[in-house]
Amino acid sequence: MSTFHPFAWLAWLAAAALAALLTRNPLYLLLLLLATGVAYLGLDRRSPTARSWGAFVRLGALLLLITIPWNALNVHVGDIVLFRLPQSWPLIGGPITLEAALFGLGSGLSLLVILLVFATFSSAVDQARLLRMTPAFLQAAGVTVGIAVTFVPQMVLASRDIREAQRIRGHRFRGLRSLLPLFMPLLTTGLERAISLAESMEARGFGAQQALPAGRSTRYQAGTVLALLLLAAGAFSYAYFPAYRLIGGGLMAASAVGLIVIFRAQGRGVARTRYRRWHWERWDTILVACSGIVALALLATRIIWPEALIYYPYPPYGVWPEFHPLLGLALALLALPGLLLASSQRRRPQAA
Amino acid sequence: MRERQRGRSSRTGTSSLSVVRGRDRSRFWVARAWPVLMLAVLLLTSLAPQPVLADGGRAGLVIQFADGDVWKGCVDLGGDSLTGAEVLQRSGFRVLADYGFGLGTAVCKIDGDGCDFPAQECFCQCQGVECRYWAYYHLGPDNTWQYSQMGASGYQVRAGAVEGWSWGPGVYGSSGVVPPVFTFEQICASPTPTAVPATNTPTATVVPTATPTATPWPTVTPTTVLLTATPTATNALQAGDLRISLEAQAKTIARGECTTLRWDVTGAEAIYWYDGTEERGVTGQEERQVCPPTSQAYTLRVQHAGGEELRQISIAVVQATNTPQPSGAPVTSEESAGRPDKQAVAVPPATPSPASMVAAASAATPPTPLPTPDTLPRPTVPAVAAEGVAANSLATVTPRPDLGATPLDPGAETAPSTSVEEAALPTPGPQALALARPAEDQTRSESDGQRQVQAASTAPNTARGSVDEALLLRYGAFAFLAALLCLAATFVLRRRVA
Repeated sequence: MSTFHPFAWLAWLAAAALAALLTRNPLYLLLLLLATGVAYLGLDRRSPTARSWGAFVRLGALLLLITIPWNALNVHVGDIVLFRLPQSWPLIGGPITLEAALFGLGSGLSLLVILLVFATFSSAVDQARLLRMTPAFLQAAGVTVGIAVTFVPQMVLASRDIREAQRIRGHRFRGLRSLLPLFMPLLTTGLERAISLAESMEARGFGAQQALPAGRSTRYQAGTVLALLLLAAGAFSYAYFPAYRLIGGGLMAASAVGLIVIFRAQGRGVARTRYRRWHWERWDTILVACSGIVALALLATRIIWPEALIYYPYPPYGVWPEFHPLLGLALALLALPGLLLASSQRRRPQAA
Repeated sequence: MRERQRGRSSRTGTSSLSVVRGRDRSRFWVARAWPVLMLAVLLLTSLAPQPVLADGGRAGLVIQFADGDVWKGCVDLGGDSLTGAEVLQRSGFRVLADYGFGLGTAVCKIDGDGCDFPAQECFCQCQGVECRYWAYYHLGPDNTWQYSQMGASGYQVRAGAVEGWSWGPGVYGSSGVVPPVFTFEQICASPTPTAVPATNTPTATVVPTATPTATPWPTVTPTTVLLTATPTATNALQAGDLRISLEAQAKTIARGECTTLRWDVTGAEAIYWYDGTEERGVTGQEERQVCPPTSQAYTLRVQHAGGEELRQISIAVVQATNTPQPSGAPVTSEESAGRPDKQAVAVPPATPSPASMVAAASAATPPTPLPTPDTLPRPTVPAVAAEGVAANSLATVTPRPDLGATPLDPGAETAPSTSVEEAALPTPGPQALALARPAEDQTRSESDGQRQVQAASTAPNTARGSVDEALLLRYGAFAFLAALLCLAATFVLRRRVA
């Protein structure tokens, strides 16, 4: 087995992203980071998307470098003062405190972990599999997005070729003005590729719309609009009228159900033939069950005991983050994909 | 010039490129000079002389709570203008606020009235814009309250201003419950030569809840306000040779007894003694006999070349028939001074308020829960009053129920493990633990030096910078899990290729 079923990976993604979004506690986020790393290490890392993991790590580190100073320089609250800036400086003047830096660290780590979780997911489930996972009613949109995503690395390669050709001719990069000779050939190359791909796809029958009976498409549209309005009303009343939380929540749930019904009805009209179906194996059930347990534990903690997930170092609260070993264990369980993949692998000879 | 250029170009082999390189280089530096110039302008404007107020400047603060109690106090601005949020923090009350990434501060809770941020949302009692919330006012020149158009962190409080906070229903952003009007002169009266603190009169609408043993506490300005009395003698300045010692003949006395406090300070510029009601200048070697009716904290404030130091000592007063206090209760000067010291060293000109150091005293005093017990009238210095009542009637202290603290049971660990772990709320659980470990505290109390508030490590929620043993165990569990995951990573790496 080289990887899990895409839906099993989706369950893992839901659990991991939920964990990263629910907490700002650096200890939990560190555990989640390590678990994601283990899951990533278990993958087949020869695909080009897997190599972009390094870029995501660098992007996340850059985010950390932004959020920590941002919070430290803007929020001047706390007892542990690192240093002081003159009070007369417009935004950043005043005491720079450790509490603000720690809060920035928590927020930055949360962003970093979300990035890496999504990077792991995209390494595990590449574009082709993602495209096959799109729901039926989103078929056309899925194809468009898939093509757009594959275009980006092609553009990067094309720009590299153009830069090389320009350098051979003695053209040197000298500021923003010299980007124009790079931009024009890039644009024309991209348009040429798009037109030729569109022609070949049209020749193969992509994009042919099924003719719906009269009125059905308007009914679908009206239903979607109504359901979205219900969702907006539910969200508004949930946020603005805390006494009527149940009504707001009920409206949101009803609209979600309505949307699902409409989407399924729309999807039934699209005929898709599937080749090389993914078989659901025992490992996938284990992964889904594990992710389900973690997600349920997190949701239960959030509802019943929200203070366990909160990290707020400012006075009068304490600077040291809380840590509950059971929650930490739940987060460490998210490393399961990597462990399962590694254990199912027979030891390969070194020459391979 | 051209000859020189041609000569250079013959060496490099390209004629036009050297000229281009010269022009490029100048443009390079010009382009990068702009941010440096702007930074220089910013620095120069900030270095412009700021008007320094002679006595540091003071501002009045009026807080009206949900039950109608009004607290007013005079806050020392410390020579600079403070934001409204900082002025509120200097009142000594426990303030929960949402500091939102620097985009503004929202005050959620002051000393028991409000929403427990971040467990609850900050404005938890709002329906749309109809809200019960902390409304923020400034006293206008015509002595009427004006609703503040800016938030607590955006408004700069100048000397002579009066700030108002009141809890009640209103429309968020435009109206709220208006507190009673007090002018600056009423709150911060001009000082007498003996340095009487500004407000000693009880507030107008105090609801006296009679306690059986405690006398009603007078309203005290918790921050050090005025020191117009010059110290009667100053020690010769020996740079760097500062020695402070503060001790008591007996740290626990029965009611009606007296004890002698003695201090010995060398190498200081000015020394002030604060005995809970007033502060006055003193000499370097003195002793005082005190006969406090209830537990009292005494503070010695020493100003020297390098800044300011605080030493505090608490005298616990017990009923003659009660079981003797656990020795963890009294706070020595060395224990509690750690935290104010850190503040004093980091911020030399600023005066750390006695409220914060009294809070540190209460932090190191195990049996004192930080929230003001129900048995006291509200407008008091919370920590000192709580300490006093707690010392007198340990078993009868019932902290306010909305804070979720469980009643103290001396010697028994009543707090369930969940409340101990909650970093959000102060719990008496770890403090009850301290009662069970008197020997440790005793050794710590005899030690010397600038000890951090690790001595108060048994109460992690009241001493913010310390960790208690249960938390350390949990950190150990974290380290174990992290190590486990690293092992898993090496295992996975070895089993997979590429």
